[in-house]
Amino acid sequence: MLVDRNARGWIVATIVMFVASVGLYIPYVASTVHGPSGGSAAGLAYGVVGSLFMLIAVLLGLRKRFRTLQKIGPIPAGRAHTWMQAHVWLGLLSYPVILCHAGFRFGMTGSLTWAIMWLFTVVFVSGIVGLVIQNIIPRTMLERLPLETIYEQHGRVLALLRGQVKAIVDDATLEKDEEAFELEAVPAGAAVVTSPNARLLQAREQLRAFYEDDLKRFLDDDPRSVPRLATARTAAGTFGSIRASMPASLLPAIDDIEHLVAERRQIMQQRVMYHWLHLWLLCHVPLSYALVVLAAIHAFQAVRYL
Amino acid sequence: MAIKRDVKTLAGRLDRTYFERQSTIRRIRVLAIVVCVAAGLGWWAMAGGVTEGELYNPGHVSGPHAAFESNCAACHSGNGKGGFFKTVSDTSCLSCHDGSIHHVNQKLAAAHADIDPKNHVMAVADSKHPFGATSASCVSCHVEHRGPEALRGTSDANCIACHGNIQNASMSNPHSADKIVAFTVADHPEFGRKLVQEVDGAKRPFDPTVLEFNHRKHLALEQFSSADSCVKCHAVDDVPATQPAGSMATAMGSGKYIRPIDFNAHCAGCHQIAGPSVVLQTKRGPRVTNENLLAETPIPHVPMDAVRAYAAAHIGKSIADKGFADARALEDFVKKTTDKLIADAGKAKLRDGAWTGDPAKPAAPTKLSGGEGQGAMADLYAHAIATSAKGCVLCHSLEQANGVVQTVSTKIPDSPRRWFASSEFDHRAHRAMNCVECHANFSPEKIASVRDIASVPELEKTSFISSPGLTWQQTVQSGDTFTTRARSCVECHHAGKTARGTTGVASNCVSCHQFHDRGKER
Repeated sequence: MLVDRNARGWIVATIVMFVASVGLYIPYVASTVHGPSGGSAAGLAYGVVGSLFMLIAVLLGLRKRFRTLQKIGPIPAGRAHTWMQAHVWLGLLSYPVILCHAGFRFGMTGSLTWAIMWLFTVVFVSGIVGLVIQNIIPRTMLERLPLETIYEQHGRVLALLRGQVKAIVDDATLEKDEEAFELEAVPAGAAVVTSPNARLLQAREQLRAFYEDDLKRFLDDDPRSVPRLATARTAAGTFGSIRASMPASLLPAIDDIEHLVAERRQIMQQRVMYHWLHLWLLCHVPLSYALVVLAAIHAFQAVRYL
Repeated sequence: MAIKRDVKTLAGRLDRTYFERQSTIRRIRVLAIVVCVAAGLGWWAMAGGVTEGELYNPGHVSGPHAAFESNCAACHSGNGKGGFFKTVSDTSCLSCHDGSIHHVNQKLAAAHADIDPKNHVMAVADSKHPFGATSASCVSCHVEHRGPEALRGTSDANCIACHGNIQNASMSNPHSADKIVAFTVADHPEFGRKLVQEVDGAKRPFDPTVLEFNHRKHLALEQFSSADSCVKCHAVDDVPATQPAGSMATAMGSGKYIRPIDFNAHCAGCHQIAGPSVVLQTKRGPRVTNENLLAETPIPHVPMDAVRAYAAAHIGKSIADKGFADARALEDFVKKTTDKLIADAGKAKLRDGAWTGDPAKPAAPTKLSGGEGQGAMADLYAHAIATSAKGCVLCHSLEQANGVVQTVSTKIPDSPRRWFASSEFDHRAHRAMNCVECHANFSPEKIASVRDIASVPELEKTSFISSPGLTWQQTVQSGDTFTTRARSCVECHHAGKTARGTTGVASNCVSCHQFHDRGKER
């Protein structure tokens, strides 16, 4: 959780700094002749502070790249969680501070400042979206996906699941000698006659057909292509009806299969959530780097032409 | 067979070296970073980032500088030092603009390095400038890329920076009020302080024009009885045909100020200058009259030397035309004429104050023949013209110069027609108002009817300015009743709302004042 009780200090500090920034902005604007300017002393101060916040936010990527780093020279590298909190709250604060720097103007259309401000806006909004997502989805995953596994291992786990289901089905449908014939009770002295256990055979065939028609597709392809197993509710109905037609000897196998199907379904749900959890970064992170590069050019030229 | 789901079994399913390989999402993200940064840099390069063009333009430059919009170096010259910084230098501005100083008493820097806007040092010595100094730190007031208003630098804050306490911005004791921070009765001094004189125990603006003119007498005339009578003589100075509209040449000719009174345009219709009447019959010559000697009447309204030259030329011509029998006849004529002119001059009674200094006394000619005799006659005629009842002395003061009479210069039209020289006033902009709304500072107890305005004693002298100060009184007629009420420019010119809820007319400093003294431009 990025926003929770543990972040209270950051939240308070952010609110204090935000109020201070806006509070100082009002007398600053009132004291200017032609309105606020990024080139004024106060404007430059806002620019430097805002840029520092942006830089700290970007450095999170570097900190994550060297997760095991303990110290940078004599300075403690800080916990990755602290860096993440700094990324969230200082990044959040950087936008209003930079707006104060720019005098709440985006600059002339087509100019560098205009491009930077729009880029910053996209990065800021995507960051907020990401923050919301990061607060909702992990909790949801924790609650709904008890069988969650590592995303990068999904392929490997799925292969194992497929193997396990196949092994269970093979084992359950294997014709065993003691099960080949049904014992028939006959009068004493009479010959013992055995006959094929018709019900068991039928159940095995049904299980095999279920495996071939649905389970394989469910495990190999897109699970949503098998609606009867795609959701917990339909899967429960499906397995309930199968169970009703199965002899007692096959019920443990059915239970195992149902469990593995549930795991497969959770992997599917996990993938969707994982994509939500990470795909916004494909917008946020690359644009952040582009923003920092262009902002550096802006700072260089602005100081030069001050 | 029951599947095992203990931690060990589940962990055993995983490849423990998975983190050593980069995931697809991470690879895509790295690729996206490279693409985005490259795209950003590519756009920057293609948009002219390398050549330092418009990409860094924080806003369009104002209209007058539009030609330089794409040429940053035209203004961002860094003072021509070629260093890292490309700030706008005064040199760039002064390459086109004169940048005259504001006031001779403002703080002056000896060199550019000493310019210090924070300490109000905003002028620098410039030996190449006719006035020895130019304004400096142009960008302190004139801000580009922020619209024409910012470029003009017309914000009151720019003025108040110094006039909030003018002592801090002056080299010596300033004449201006220490603190002028707003156009209000409390925060702005009265107008025309340099013209104020004590007259009859009261301080009031005093017109330095040396001219005897009786407004009272003229306003009593039928042709001046209408409400717009003032403009029959005091018309605004319209734009001359040779000067394009909007020209910055001078304030005069802009329609802002009142055109100087011109004798030929405003006076000559009634007041013709006539020479003295001299009728002589000499013994040996023809009958000679004044008309014969000064054939072209009326005498032109020109300076006394020109009057004298005019008289000399016409006397000489008339004598030549008429012809005298001999030199004795001419001498006889000159003697009799000059005797009479001298005798008449002795009888002339002039108004009090007609002479500035000692009166000129006409002298008898030492020689009666030749040019000297005629020159002496011309001098005496000029003296007679100057001192006759309908002559120069009617309006002008007289003085003696080198023994002959001269009119004292009225300084019209060369005298400034702006009584409040530190400011500008646009009469044309106020054309919707009646002249007397501002210029009739009369006491109602002295006025019984409109016609009685002419009876106001002050109007007998033109030297009383009736231009309004920041506060003045206006006499308002309602039927036959006259009431006086306090008036002030700030009734209309003020920040905020009027009593009717409308916005006040502009009252910022530059509505009336200019920073750069145009009179000190090269």
